[in-house]
Amino acid sequence: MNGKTFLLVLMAASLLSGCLRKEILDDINIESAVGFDYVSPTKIKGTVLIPIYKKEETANKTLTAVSVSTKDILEELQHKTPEPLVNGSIEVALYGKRLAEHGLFPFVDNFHRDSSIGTGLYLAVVDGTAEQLLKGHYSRQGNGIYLSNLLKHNIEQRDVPKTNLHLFLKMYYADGQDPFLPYLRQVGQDVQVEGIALFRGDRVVDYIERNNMFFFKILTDSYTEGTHTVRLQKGNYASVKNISTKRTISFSGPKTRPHLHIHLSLEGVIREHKQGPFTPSTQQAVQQQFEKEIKINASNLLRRFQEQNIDPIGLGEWAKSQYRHFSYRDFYRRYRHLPFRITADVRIRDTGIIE
Amino acid sequence: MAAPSESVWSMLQTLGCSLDFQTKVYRNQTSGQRIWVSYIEPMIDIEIAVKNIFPYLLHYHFSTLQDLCGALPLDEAYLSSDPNDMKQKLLEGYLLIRLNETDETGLLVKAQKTLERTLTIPEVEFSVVGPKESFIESLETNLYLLRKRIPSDHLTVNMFRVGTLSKTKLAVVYIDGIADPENVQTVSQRIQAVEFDEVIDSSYIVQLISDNRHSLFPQLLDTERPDRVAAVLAEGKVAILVDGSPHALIGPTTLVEFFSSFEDYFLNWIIASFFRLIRLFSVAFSILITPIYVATLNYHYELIPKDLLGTLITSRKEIPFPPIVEVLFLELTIELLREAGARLPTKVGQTIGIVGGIVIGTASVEAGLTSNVLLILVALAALASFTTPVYKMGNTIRLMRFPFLLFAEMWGLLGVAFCFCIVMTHLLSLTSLGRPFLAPLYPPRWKDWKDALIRLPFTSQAKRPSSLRTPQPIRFDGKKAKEKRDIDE
Repeated sequence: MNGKTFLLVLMAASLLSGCLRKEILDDINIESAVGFDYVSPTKIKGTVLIPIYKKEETANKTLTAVSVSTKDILEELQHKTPEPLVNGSIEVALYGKRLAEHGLFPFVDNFHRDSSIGTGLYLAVVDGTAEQLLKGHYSRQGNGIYLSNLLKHNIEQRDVPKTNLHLFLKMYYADGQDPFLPYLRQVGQDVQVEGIALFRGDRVVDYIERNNMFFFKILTDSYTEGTHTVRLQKGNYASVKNISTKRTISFSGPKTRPHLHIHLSLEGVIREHKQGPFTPSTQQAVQQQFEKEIKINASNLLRRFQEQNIDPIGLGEWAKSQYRHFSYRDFYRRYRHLPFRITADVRIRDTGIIE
Repeated sequence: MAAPSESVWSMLQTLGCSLDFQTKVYRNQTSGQRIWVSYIEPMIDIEIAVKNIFPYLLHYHFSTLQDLCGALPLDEAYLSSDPNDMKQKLLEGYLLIRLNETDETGLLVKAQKTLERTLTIPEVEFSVVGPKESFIESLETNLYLLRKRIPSDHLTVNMFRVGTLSKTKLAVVYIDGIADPENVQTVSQRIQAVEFDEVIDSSYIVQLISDNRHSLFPQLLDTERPDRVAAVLAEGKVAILVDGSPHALIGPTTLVEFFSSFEDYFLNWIIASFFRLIRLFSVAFSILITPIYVATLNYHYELIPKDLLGTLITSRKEIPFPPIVEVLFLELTIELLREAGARLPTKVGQTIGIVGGIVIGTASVEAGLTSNVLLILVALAALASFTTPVYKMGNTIRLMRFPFLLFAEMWGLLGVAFCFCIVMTHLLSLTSLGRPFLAPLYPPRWKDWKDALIRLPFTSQAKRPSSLRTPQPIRFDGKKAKEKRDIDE
């Protein structure tokens, strides 16, 4: 290519390509979180959280509007802001309990169509209204970062199973799995993870309580760090810090009458032990008690799923991978009465540095 | 210029127009013979003339110039009657001795003044460890510095003269049997084809014989270190030394060679590789950081991590300009400082650096003209651009930032990628003495990677770079070099 051609191509490329709309960082209002609440069967109320950055701390500003669709709400809100409102860096999307129970998929859909929104976006269901929760004031970093960090550390290190926009959509679209999302509640000046909201399709049908979240997480996800307290007899207890868990799901029997076996193996270290020295026999007792707890609680959870006819673990997907010519419809017809067996294997590898 | 029919007489007349040309008449004290001595005064070393020539001229009994020539204790004395040759020699600092004013034949005696500075330490490519000699302006001394390091009969020097006016001496140096004859051929041909009048420095030669004269990238490596030249000659490269220039040229060169400091070879290979990677990183940082800043702030706020968002927004909140104006303001300030510092005497230059760096930087942030985040980035980018060991490449890197900025402003990160593509296309098509400039990265010469982005230990460098196509690819016995030799064997 000689110089003239090159120049011509360059000119054409730069002059004919049209203009991209500039969004200069300090001339836009960047949303950090959004919330949606139920108003009527056709209308929703949207709340947008905009952080106002100052040198010392970040203030929160919320704007609300009522309309039929999420994009419409954004357009409504544009009238209320001096600078364009953009949603490319939202961290958290919250859904009020009532909206979630009426079905929230139409209000998730818009996120994955918008290329400026990452699929790492956290979704959560809120006890009460999302508006109320977003209007609180929780930390100096601003509510958006607060909520996103709250979910992030509970997912990465504690007992909330991993969820985000990407995983939610995957679970929603998968034939052999139902989605779940964390369930948040505003408690005074704080927000706390209250449990897990379980969906059938895109409607919330059940909530898992906080004390069952550990068992839910080891059933659906792998679990690292975090501590679980095992109650032994006579008011004695031991806290076991988890190192790693492994979940093995297998099916046996013919396709028409599958038998489910879930094996949960867990390794941990003792962090706290209330009474007496920790002897090999107490170690044995702790392990056995822990195994028993896992077996009972996990079985209860699974039975609950069967009663609700939901499948947050994704058993359908597992079954499909093990049977040829598998039919989801047949599997879920029998799902309620699917026989299962849960086994657990707990190993305590370390009892602390002083003995 | 001189016509062939020109006589010695008219030649001397022409030279005589210049007042520093002298013709003096002496009388031999033993024979009474009159002697005409002509010379150009500034070119003559008076000491040589007084000690070695005049005693013979005035006291030795001779009848012909032939006799005198035999008697002089100087090697470079001969009879000539060619006016062109005489003129050339007179201009170089010879004495012309004739027995008669109208004689067409004269004795030329060398009494050349050689003023040259002493060897100094390399200033542009300074290294803390390693040899501290650098080339100077004299070609003979420079060749001596090379010969001293390569005492081999295969070290070959081809001499040329370039420049119609300057007639600059130029030496093409290579090791016969190691350098690819084709490369030597290319260099010689291009030098012979040079059309220019006054060749002052080796930088002229680079610009005159480069493969692509419009490219921003220098296509011959210039160095002031004789040790570096000796090292690459042993690899099979060709060096060009120009009389009057303290910088030698090395070719064929590659892009990565511009980012390898010669100090890399004086350090342990792990440390050297680390430094080399740092340098490559800093080059990328220096070129790309401000364009990325502009692109991100203009178009891609989504890419900014949430914790950084607040920092960036608070630092930019009060700034009345769009990011591109802010960046150009600071980049040009840095360029101004650099240019001012380079033009001023060292001590004043330092003051200017401090005034500019501290006062302008801080004041512009306080006045709300630029954001402090950007000030840090621009300062770091400037610092990073100075890590390039070869000065000329550093200039290229500083200039390359500006087209990137323009594209970032127009099309955001897409523009940065586009500009990167243009630069890569250019680099891929670039050659140095007809050899690919981007080797060994592309075309991939995996074996040459041992001394490219990183430098492996000397024991692994048993083969010469394959991209040089040397007729003798083995440097030494690699297996033997790696053997462990124990003392108690």
